[in-house]
Amino acid sequence: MGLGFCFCLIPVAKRLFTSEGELIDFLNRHLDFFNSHPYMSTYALGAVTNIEQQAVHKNWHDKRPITIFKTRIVGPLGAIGDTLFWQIIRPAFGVLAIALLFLFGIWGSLIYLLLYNIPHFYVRIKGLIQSYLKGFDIVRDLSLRGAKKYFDALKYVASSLLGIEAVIVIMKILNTPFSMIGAIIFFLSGMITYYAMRRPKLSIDTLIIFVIFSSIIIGLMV
Amino acid sequence: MEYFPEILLICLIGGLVSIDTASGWQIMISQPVFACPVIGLIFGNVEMGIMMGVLLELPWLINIPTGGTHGSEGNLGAVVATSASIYLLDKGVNTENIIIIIAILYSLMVSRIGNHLVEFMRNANIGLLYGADRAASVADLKKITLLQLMGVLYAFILGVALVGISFTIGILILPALVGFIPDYFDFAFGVAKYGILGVGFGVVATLFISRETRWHLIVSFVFSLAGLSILLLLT
Repeated sequence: MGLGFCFCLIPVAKRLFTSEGELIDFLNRHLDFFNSHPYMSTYALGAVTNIEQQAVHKNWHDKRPITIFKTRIVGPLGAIGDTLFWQIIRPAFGVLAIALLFLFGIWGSLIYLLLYNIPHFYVRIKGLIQSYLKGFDIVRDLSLRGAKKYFDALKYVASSLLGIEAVIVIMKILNTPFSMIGAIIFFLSGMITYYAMRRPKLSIDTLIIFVIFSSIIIGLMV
Repeated sequence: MEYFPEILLICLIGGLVSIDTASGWQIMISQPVFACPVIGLIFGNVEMGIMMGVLLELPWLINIPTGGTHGSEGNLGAVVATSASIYLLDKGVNTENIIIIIAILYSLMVSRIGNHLVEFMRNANIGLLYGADRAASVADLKKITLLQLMGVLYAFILGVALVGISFTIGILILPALVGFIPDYFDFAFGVAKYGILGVGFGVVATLFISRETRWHLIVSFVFSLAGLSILLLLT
């Protein structure tokens, strides 16, 4: 990700630096380790652009604050992005997408893609603009603790969505030749997965194989 | 060579899915819920694409790509499973449920291999980073750009190679495997589809159900069930 971060800043480097020495320093600064959430990384890009501009205009001799800022912002960005997108939005939209596929067929896929990318691009664009305007001060806006209340609200919505979707799926299964046995297997597998996934050493592949073979055995007995 | 154009197209999709999974846009065209129906559309079996998308969307969401961790390449596995299933149905095999489950089991193996290939690709990316360090020391912006694009190209090649090879092997061995299973097992394999769907829901529940939120799940489940039951009774 460090290379990608530096690559994104190349247009900034071309605008800000004319001497080769300054350009080399700039590139070395931004090829450093950088590992954050991909959508949230625009926050770092915008802020770093602002700070680099300040450093040029105010003729900073010591550029270490830029590197320190980058190192410090990686953690919060990763924590917020991973919680918001990978743990809430992507799974919630995944559940929603299944309902959309049931309702609209292949158009459901397209609707899913469009809906998912609204918060995605909103965060990317907002992050870039807001952090460019605020520079160092963007750190104040990026607190996991501050964002927690929004995350909790989203989790309530997502949990409710999961409940509604489970009913839609069960109704759908009841309309198939598998009827009751399909619905029971769906419900049991969900419960088993929910409790089994709390064991950190259990892989999802193993669980899928277990569920497949158990379901086949039950299916043969019915 | 009968299926050469199809294999090429599947490889291309695999490459794009691989880029979108981690190295590129991440606009979720790599998610099974989008990629599988699109494969179905391209190869003339949308229903199978939708079925695979529904079954394979949720289970791999448990692999959260935080820090340096990386789980199975479920998205690439889903591409292979969908393509292989459609191929088998085209060949006239009519035990649809057996095909789906065998293809999914095969895709689990493919996604595990994909996981090891990603580790290999990461090591190759470290080489790119060293190259970028050398380019930075002489302020060679073009080379840095080129190295960045090579990182994306590596992901594309990984997707193309994994999907191409595993699909080709799959269409050679899967018909024999499916043929080995008696037709009357089809119902039992069909039941297993809903087991996989249940695993997906369990995975999502693991991600955002806590002591505080579980009542929302239960209340919404009960109310939806009651609402739908009333609606069904009225109609």
